[in-house]
Amino acid sequence: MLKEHLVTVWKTLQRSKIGYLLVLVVIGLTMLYPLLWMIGTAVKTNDPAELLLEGPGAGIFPSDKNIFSNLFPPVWHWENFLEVFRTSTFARYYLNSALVAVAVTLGQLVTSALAAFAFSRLKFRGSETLFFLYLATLMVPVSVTLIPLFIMMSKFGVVDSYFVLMIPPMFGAYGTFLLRQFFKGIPDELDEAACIDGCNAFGRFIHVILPLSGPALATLGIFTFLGNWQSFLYPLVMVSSDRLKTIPLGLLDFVDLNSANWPLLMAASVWSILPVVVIFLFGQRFFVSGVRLGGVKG
Amino acid sequence: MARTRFCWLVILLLISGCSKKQAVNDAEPVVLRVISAGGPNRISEEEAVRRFQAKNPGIQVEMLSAPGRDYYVKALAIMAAGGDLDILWMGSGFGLFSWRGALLPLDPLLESDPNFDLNRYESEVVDWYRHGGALLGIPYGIDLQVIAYNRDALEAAGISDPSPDWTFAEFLKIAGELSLYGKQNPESCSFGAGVDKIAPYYFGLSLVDDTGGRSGLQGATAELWLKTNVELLRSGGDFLRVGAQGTLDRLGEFLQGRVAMVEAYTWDVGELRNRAQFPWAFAVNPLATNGERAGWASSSGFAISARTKHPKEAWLLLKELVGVEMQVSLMATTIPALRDLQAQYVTANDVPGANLKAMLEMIPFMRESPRIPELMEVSQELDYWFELALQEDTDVTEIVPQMNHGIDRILTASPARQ
Amino acid sequence: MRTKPFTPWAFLLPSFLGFFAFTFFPILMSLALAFCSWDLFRAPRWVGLDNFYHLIGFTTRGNPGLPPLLGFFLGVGILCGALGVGFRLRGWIRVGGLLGLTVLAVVALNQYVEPVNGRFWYFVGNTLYLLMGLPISMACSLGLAVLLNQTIPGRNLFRLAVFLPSIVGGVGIYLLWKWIFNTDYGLINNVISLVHPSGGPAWLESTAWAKSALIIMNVWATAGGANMVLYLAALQNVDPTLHEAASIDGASKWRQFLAITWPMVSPTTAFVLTMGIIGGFQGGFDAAYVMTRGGPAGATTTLSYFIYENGFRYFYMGRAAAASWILFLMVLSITFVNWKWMAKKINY
Repeated sequence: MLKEHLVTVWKTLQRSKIGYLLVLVVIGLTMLYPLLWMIGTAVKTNDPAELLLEGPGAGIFPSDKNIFSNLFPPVWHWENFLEVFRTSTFARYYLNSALVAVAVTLGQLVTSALAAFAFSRLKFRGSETLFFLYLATLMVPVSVTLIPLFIMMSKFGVVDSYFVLMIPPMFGAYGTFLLRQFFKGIPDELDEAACIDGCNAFGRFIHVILPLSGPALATLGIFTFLGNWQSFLYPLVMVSSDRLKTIPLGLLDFVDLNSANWPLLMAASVWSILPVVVIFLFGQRFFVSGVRLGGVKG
Repeated sequence: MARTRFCWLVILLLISGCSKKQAVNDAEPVVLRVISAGGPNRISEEEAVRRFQAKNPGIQVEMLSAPGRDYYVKALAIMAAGGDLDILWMGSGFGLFSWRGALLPLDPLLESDPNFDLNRYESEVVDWYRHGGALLGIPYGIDLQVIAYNRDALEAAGISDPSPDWTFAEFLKIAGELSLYGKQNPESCSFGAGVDKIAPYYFGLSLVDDTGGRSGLQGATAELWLKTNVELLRSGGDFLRVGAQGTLDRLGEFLQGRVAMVEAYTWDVGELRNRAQFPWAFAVNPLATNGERAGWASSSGFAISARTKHPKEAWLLLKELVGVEMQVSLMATTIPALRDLQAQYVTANDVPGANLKAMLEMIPFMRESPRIPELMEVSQELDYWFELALQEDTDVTEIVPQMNHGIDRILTASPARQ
Repeated sequence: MRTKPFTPWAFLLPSFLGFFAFTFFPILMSLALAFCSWDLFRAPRWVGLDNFYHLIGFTTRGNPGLPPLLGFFLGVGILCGALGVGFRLRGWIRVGGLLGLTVLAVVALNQYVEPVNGRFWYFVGNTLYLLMGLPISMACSLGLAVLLNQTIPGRNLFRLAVFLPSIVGGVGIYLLWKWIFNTDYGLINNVISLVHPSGGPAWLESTAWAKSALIIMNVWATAGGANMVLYLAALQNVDPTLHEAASIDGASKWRQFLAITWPMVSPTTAFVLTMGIIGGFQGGFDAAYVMTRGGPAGATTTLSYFIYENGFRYFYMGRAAAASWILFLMVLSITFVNWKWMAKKINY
């Protein structure tokens, strides 16, 4: 009886898709809860004097372990977000990260687009071999090139400079591969039609291919920017002095200087991912198209 | 094809070669590059540089800072990369630099300078900066460690303040009583003590023996040391694990009143004075199990890079960076290396009842951190076995021989000493 | 269209210059470095296979006097033999045969020789262990894709919600997870203590749980990301009439999934798996550096972290280069095997 009843309920739920909806709500909340927890911790206080006023439950070490009532404190300490900038040169790290990411993105777009055009539209001897070489380097672990790169850069005396942060990451086989896939999808007839009076290769690139590949360029641009914003190992190895540090490195120093001051650390972390979230919300369609473009090969 | 590639290489080399050549120009004024760990000392360092520039207007100074626990690695990386550095902040990582020949011997500069009297500096700490007979650095501060305790918590539990000649066994007993009291009285401290690890020196041991070529954690004492750690630090023990390895902050836990006793370092004094909401005090380290007193110690100082192009100017700046004004301005973070200033240290940091002179009383019992080029690997090896011992299902007796074997292997097979 | 012979090279020049200088040349240099001992302070020394011997070499038990290379080649030879025999087998037996023979070879070798650097193999094991997160993450991605493939209100909102964790990343997120995994006050153990009063494990401070913690974090970060989008695209290409026909035949949802959906998305699975393995072998550095420093007791030290530590903390440049080449060769061979195997399994 009960079982039959349950089956009917189940069937109804299935038909109305409420079941799916519920499952998705639960999953969505689970995925977002760590990020909420991050914000919640960021507005708590670690100051013993403040905690005496607000009660021990307000801090990051509450006595009862209810994850919902502990999510946000009774008093929101928004000043933690400003404190981040006062206690360290965080603004400098922000500026560095933005500068480096923008420069790398622009460089990556230019070099990749030019090379992708050559690989997709121009016929030359060794084109296949060279492209295969490009692709093969995608498999080479970063650590293989990192050590020699550090030694090379130090022999040239450019370790610990903007040069080393910006120039080498500008060249990536992945961008070339991505754009080549896209350019190949543009029909050859378009080139011919647009260049009936016989413009040269550069003309075709500028007047035909580039105007048509806005979405692909935007996708590559966003991915490169984000990848560089979060890049950690490379700047960690190449940069030592404070004035050149990017956000990920600055965050680590922040950890060392504030040891386990979790509210402040979380406030700094929120600052570090904020631009990423903003970019994501405004450019989400490029994320999906980018993933598909990269996955065409499968 | 091969020729084309070769050409690219040559072009590349030329481009980078040119950019470097432009940087070196004889007509330019002297620029000294200083690297330090920055952080809270930064302001004092910048003031010292300003004083120096007022006295020597022709010399420019560029300050680099590499904060964080990887300062030594970062400074080494810059030197390995051939970066122009003139002056380096120095501390417990001295051996990493001295063994690699990265520091300039200061004796000739010292002898030719009548205005600098090294004898006024705490001689034992000065000696830490000697390698193979040469003086390679000058300290401005002495860093050491004592025990800080929450006087309210001890009073509530009915425990009298530790006496100056307390033993390690008494320390453990007090910690145990405090933990027990904390379990029954939730408003008091939950843990008697918080440490990252109970250091080998509480058992009269050191990480590396006196020759610097062999592990110092030998025999039954080392086993006892590890067993005590395991007993107290495995989950459910009397001690809270705080510090480098965990997610909990040593001083933060003390200030929030969760642990009653922690190891306190010279650089904690300012923080304790400003933030503690309860009366606290320092006590000298308890007598180790062998009856001798010992404690962690290091120093803060500066050294000159062996590759500097301006040793004379660098020496002038170095003197400013380890001078009287610098030491006075850093009294909240380190004990002055100048002996005349040490009495002032206590009055400058005075907190009623805090027993600040315990810091000075520890000076005779300082034990320097090992000055070996493999400091990084050896500490890593120690941590490896230590962490393994703390795991639930590890047999502690098997750990010590393996730990020694591991450390010895690093020390004997080290490419760093060839 | 006619072009002058140098035109393609004019287009390629910037990219190729950078590619040559910052990728191709360093790869060659790293190969040379792998046979040297160099701390950057003194002149480099040619040491032959010494670095490799110290990483993956073997010595006879109780007799370190065995010529180093002999032990090395003995180990490699026997392993290659086992793999060779394994490859001769056909079909499903091949997988079992390969695994079985490899284990047998290792067990047999273990009687006579021991690795010079046992911990290196432990770190290799760690890297492989962390790779186990990949199938879990892929299963979650596929599950999410199936859920999100339904027409339900607010579908795009959910897609945003599950995609967000994959896009925010880096040190900030590792710090967040370090806090979430805190033994006493972390989010995870708070949840566990709701159902299990004695609380959860010590996660990042326990050798037994640290790797699982990292896997959980990785699943959170990747389940709703690029892989899910790829699966979603593949699902949308499945002809709905196939499902309708199966429904009429009375096949359950699960049967439909196994018979229709799974084969149809298998190219995507192959692609995601290959890319995931390549990435996973090289990965683990950021998390290890920020969250655990490779600890406790090396439990989260992956190959990439080991290489960083040797190269940039201890300044053993040669040894680090050798380790990175070992890593490279492992990635190459695994990709090759994976690719050979997948080529047959994929349903086009």
